[in-house]
This record gives sequence, C-alpha cells and structure tokens, in this order.
Amino acid sequence: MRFLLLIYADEGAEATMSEAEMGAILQKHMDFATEAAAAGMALSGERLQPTSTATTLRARGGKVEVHDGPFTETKEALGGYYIIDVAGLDEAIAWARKLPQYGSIEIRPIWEMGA
Amino acid sequence: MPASSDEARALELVLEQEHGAILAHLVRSTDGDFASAEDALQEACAQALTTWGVEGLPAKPAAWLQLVAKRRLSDLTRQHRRAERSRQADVELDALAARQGAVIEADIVDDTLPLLFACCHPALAENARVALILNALCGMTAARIARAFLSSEATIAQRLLRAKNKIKASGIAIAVPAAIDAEQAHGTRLLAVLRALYLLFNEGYATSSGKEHIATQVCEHAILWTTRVVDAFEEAAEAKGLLALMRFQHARRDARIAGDGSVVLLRDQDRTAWRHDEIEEAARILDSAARMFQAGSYQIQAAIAYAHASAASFGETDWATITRLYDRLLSFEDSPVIRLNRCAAVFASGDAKRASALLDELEADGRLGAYSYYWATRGEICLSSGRLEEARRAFVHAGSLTENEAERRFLLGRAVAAGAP
Repeated sequence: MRFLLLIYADEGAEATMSEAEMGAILQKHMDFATEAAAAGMALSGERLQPTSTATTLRARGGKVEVHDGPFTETKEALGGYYIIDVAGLDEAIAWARKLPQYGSIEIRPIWEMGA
Repeated sequence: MPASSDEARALELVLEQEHGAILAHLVRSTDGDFASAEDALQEACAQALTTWGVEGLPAKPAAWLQLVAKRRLSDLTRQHRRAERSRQADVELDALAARQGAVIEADIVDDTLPLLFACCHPALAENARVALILNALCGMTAARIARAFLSSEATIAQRLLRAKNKIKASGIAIAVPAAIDAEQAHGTRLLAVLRALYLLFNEGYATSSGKEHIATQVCEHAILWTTRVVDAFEEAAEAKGLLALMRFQHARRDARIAGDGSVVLLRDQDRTAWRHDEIEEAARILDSAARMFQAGSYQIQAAIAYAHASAASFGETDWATITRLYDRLLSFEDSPVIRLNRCAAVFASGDAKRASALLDELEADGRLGAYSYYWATRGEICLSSGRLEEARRAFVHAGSLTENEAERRFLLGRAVAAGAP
C-alpha cells in the first residue's frame, strides 16, 4: 500500500544550518533514494520552497479568495514529501526512520480509489 | 423462555471463553477489517442457535463458529468481486461449503498473538490499546468495558471504532513483528504489548470496589494474556517479571475488599486470606526471570510485591529492602508516582524525617497535585508528626480526588481521625 511521508521541520532552524549540516541532510535524502531503488520500491517525492513562497486559496461564503502565506502558520512547516509503496505501516515507519530526523514526519496512507 | 435454551447457553459459554481466538483469525484473514469480521461472527452465532438446536452441539463449537463465520466472509468477498470472480476461489468455497454442516474435525485457527500485537501497536492511542484487548480478545462489549473503566459507553464505543478503523486504514499488520527486522524494533513492540497488559491489569486492580466482578475479570484477562506472551517469548525476562507482578497482586484479591465493598489497606489486610499457593507460584516465575540476568522495571516491581507478600505481618515488612528496590526502580524509570511510593516506603521504615524531605521534593515537582495517593501519603506523614490540621486537610483533599467510593470513605475516616482533638 502507498503512504505519503510529510516532512515537517522548523524553517528558522534550517535557515541557520551550516553548509556541512545541510550537506549531511541532503546526502541522507540521496541515500534514501538509492536504498529505495536498490529495494525496488516505487518512490516519488520533492522538496518544497519555504512557506514564505506559499499562496493559499480559501473558500469563504461561496467565494474563493487568494491569500499570501501557508494554510496555517506553525513552527514546523511542510518542507517536502515522499510517496512510498510498501506492505504496511511497520514498513512505512521503517523507511521513514531512514530519513534525516530533525523535525516530524507524518505518515498517511493514500486513499486508493476502489479499495 | 426459549432464548435461554441449551444451545444459547452453550453459545454464550463458548463466546465467553474463546471469543478472541475465534475473532482473531477472522480479523487476520480480512487484513484488519474488524467490521466485516465481527458481522460474520454475529451471523455465525445466529446460525449456531438454529443449527445446534437441530443437530446438537458440534464437537468443537469454537472451530465451528470460526469456520462458518469465515464462509460468510468469503461469501461477502465473492459478492464484492462478482465481476472479477475467479474459478479457483469458487472451487475453494465449494469445498468449504461441503464441510459446513458435517462434523468439523479441524481445530480453531489461533491468531490471537498476531491480533494482540496489532491491538498494542504504538501507532494507536494508549487507552485505545487497552480497550481493544478487552473488546477484540476478551469479548467484552463497550458497555461492560465502560463499567470497568468508570467511563461512558459512548466514549468507549467511539474509541474502539476509531482504533479499529485506524488498524485497517493505516495498514497495521495483524502479525507478530519479525525478529529479523531489528532486535530493537522487536523488543519495542513486545514492550508495548507488556505495557498495555500492565495498564489493563491496573484498570482492573484500581476499580475493584463496587464493580468487583468485572474488575476481577479484567485482572484475570490481563494475567491470561500475559501468560500467553510469556509462553510465546520464553527469552523475555520482563514478560515473566510482569506476570509475576500481576500474580502477586492478584493473590491478595480476597483480602483487599471488605464485605461492604470498601478497600482494605495493605496494613489491615487479613494475610491468611491471601492465596499463598499463588504467591509461591508467582515467586517461582520471578525467580526464573531473575536467572536470565536482564533486569527491568517489571521484575523490580514484582520483587517489591514479593517483599510485601512474604511478610508475616505489616509490622514485619522488610521496608529497607523495599526502599532499596524503589531506588533501583527509579534508575530504570523515573516518575513522580514511583518517587511517591518510595517516599511512602521510607515513611513506613520509620524514617519520617527523610520521608518528609522526599515529600517536599514531590511538592516542589508539582506534578502530583491532582493525585489522590499523594495527598493521602501527605496526610499520614503530617499526622505522624502531629500536624493535625494539615493532615486533616490533606485527607479531605485526597478524598475529593478519588473516584473510588470505598477509598473516599476510608480517606474521610482518616480525616476525622486527624481532626479529632
């Protein structure tokens, strides 16, 4: 079954990271992709631009308004995601553990059509 | 009354003893679809009432129910998949159908351990894990669980529904986790199971008054499932430690509650009413755990319970050993409740001065402010040093914080004792 891994982190902390720290994190993401490929697991995912670049559409009273900023302002913001395809939650947790751990990773099963 | 026929009573008895074993396999074969598994079991029960009445009781009623329920599940799957129905599935179903009604030789398929691990998955809320064990494995309805937990039926039903949905939707496997994955992960999952069984036992133990019957049943279910875990994981010393702990506590059940339902404190319990054969059995289990040299908090708690259980009288309790065991326990697991228990042990050992200092630390910590036993201990310590007004207020406050009626009466009695000039 497919899971979405939502990677949340403190953008402020990320901004003050040294190049070496950031490099180590990026390396871990690359290792993750390499390991997934070696295991034959279908993997997709992207890193996102910071929430300062976000635009939100909000439906209100039958009208849709366009706003600057993310859906909610929180300390930890969505910074990227992966979609993985594994047997179940335990395997999804095991893959998520391989990612760099410095914020939170939310694991959500994909709502498969017709399932 | 026709409803209380022989077959209805037989069915009730089978469900009381084997509900978990029957259901676990159904849940596993549907990958965690509790709703379908439970519906199928209910239909099988309805069919049992008519079939058993005509053909008599089958040789293995639980296996009969499981097989009939499994056939219902297959029927459902067949209906859902009518469009893409496979010949192979039909052949299997026909074979299954041929067996039904005939004498069933097959034994029940026991998937209870896989279901236990799923119910105790760390991705489920802790209070949901305990309720799930009682419901799915022990066959208790939401209404009965609510009575045992002093909660409302709606709350428990909602909690169960949410947890069952999560197991299915989030892909929690109905399986004992593979040890090969990582010893660490395996151990963590086992500890989560032990933790849930520990909480389950405590629920039964703490709500003993008034609702005794249900509470004793909850404790016995916890002991039963812990025994199953001990048998399945012989290398796990902590599982044995937990089982020993439960059995020490449970051996005192007859002496803990007075005839009028009130709680009898350890100090006042009739030690001849303890089940000394059970205490000996618990000591053997603890001893076999200790020989494995993997110390852990359940084994230490069991050792504390053993020190209490082996004292000839309250006055002869080896408080020095108990105090040392609490010190040891704190090195595994530091919590204000354990610190409070150590404080009470120090007080009982006669060192009121150190107990008072430990109590001050707990007061500064502040996390036990809403904990009845903290105020009760405070009351005893104040009472012993002659601070009567402070003691009286502590007992009254302790009484206002407990939901246990018998305990409240006891605490108010202590308040009166402190208030009397």
